[in-house]
Amino acid sequence: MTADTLSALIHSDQVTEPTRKILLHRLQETTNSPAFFTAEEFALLRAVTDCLMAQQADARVADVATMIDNRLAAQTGPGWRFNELPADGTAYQIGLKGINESALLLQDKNFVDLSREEKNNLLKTVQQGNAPGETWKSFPPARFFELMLTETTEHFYSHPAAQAEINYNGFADAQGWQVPQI
Amino acid sequence: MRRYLTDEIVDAVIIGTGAGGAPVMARLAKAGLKVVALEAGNYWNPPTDFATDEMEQNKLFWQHERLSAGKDPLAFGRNNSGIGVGGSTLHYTAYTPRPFPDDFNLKTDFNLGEDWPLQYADLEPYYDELEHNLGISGPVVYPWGPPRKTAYPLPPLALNTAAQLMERGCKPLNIKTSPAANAALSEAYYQEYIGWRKACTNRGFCQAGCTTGAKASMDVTLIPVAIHFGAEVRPNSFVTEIIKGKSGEIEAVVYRKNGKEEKQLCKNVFLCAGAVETPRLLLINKLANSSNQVGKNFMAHTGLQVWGEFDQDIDPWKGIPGGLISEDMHRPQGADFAGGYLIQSIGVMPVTYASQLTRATGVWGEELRERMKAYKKVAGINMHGDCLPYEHNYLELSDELDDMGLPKPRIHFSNGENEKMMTAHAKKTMEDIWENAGASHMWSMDRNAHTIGTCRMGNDPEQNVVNSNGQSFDIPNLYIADNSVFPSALSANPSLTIMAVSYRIADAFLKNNR
Repeated sequence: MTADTLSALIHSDQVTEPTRKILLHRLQETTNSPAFFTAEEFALLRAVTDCLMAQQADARVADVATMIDNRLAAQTGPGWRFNELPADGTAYQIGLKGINESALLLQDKNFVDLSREEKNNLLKTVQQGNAPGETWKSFPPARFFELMLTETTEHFYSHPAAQAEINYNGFADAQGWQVPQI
Repeated sequence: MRRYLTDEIVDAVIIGTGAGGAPVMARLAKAGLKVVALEAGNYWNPPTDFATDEMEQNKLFWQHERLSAGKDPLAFGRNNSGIGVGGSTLHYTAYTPRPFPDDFNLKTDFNLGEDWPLQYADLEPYYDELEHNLGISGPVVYPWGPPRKTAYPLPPLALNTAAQLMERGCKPLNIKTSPAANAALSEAYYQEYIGWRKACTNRGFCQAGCTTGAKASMDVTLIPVAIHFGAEVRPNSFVTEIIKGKSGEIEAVVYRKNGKEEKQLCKNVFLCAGAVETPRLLLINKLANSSNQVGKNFMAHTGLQVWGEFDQDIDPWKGIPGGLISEDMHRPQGADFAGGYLIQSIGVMPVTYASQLTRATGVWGEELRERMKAYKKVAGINMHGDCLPYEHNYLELSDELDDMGLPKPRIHFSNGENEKMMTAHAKKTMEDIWENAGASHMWSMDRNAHTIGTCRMGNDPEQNVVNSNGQSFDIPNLYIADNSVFPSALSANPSLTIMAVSYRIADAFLKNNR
């Protein structure tokens, strides 16, 4: 589906008003002035989440970092967290710091300056729990990675453009569905 | 809606308006009692307030943070805890099988877990009543369990694609299947004091809030009945204190509404805030815990899901998710575990699927993008089974305070041997079914569902928090009517039984207080 077709569908009477409002908001949910993170943290979060969702900075499907920043600033959340992690906002700040620390230790560069392949390899070590650095000694890398990956994925696939990519049109909710007969 | 003054001593304050609170509210109001129900969340108008968007609908899940600990830390919120008038029924999938009679006697049968102080026969009239009043759709003859006095009032809902595949996959294995009982209307349905409710439109967003009123959430079924008979529902009212007077009885309930503290005087309190918030309130207020069981015996149903890809469009979000059921595994032959499980077809919305896929398999990057492109062709089934109570599974108050200055609850949960063996048995069964149905790229997700058991009911005051009528052993005018009181998990999905137990508690109260 092209961006124009998607936009036309969202504006059509196949979508109810409450749903349309949300989708339109999400289509333009991008910022360069983060409300929760510092500029540096935000740039790092963008770089990390671009890897997690295999996006390129100049052709993003969804600006996940903005969506994470917005929800942390609004102090909303899923209503729970792992006991071994601090509050979500703090968890992200520590985790991002840890990722950059690992990058400096492994490659003598900031994470944002690594190649995509180097970034992905580093993130794999965080996920597996054997990334280097002092941060990870008192902050569980695998748990943090799980928090960040799940949230990133949820924001990504809530974006209409990502939903178009997977051929999902359930948001066209003005009428009911026929259940497919297989 | 009738309104009461806070300094008027109402007959009952009900805390929570979900599957526990709503039946009590309806029953007491219909009997002419003055009832005020306090709900922490909003009073939504689904057609205008609900979007067909999962992230937006997170607003239906309990927002106040829980700390999740143990070897199998539970995901709260969307998995098991609602907020808003209607409680968790706003986002329940509306699976409403009845339990079996032997579900109530696990200890007698296996010498593990606990027996209920009730029998199936005690709840049967309430199952009959609820299935009729809520408009539960189900098969003409239900193939499992004892013979029934009433039939389902509505025919089964259309089988979604997962249900069709499950039927196909079970046949060669001689596993009996049947259209399932679901609390959603397969046809327009008229209910006294409510009017006509519309039939299900297969939108498939049951777990993110039904917009048509076809799903039997409490806000479109029992709560309007309660209001018709004079009950008052106060939304955005977060209960913080339950005040016990010198008499040893509860005199008032304090709650925060729009930033201000209010106090409602009352003769009785029904605590129906669910198996996390009910014990939390009791522990914070240091009430009703001479048994030392408040917060203990925490259980969560075993709920492994098996997913696979198929070679045609499945559109997994369309239709009622739980279209098909098998209860052949209720007490499997030669099982090495106590209790049993059922298997249900499931549906899934895209964000939920993506989230589960990454959490369970850890996939990300290019591979995740590719796997998700198969979403339109995925289908899943799940088990739903018993969980035993253990000393190591419990709720406690943490030292961390939330933004209301109340201690956050910490829940410790780890599956025990029984759950692991049951899950292994179910995993093999479900993988066989799915292979026979034609699934490829199968993956499974270990999970537990619901929150149960933290204010257990029983006959012994030293071992239980409430008696079989939901009445606190310590405080005679304090009642608990929600899933906290379950002494065992049951293999069946809990909502229908929560409502039945709640009705029974209300009837016993009315009988004993006349």
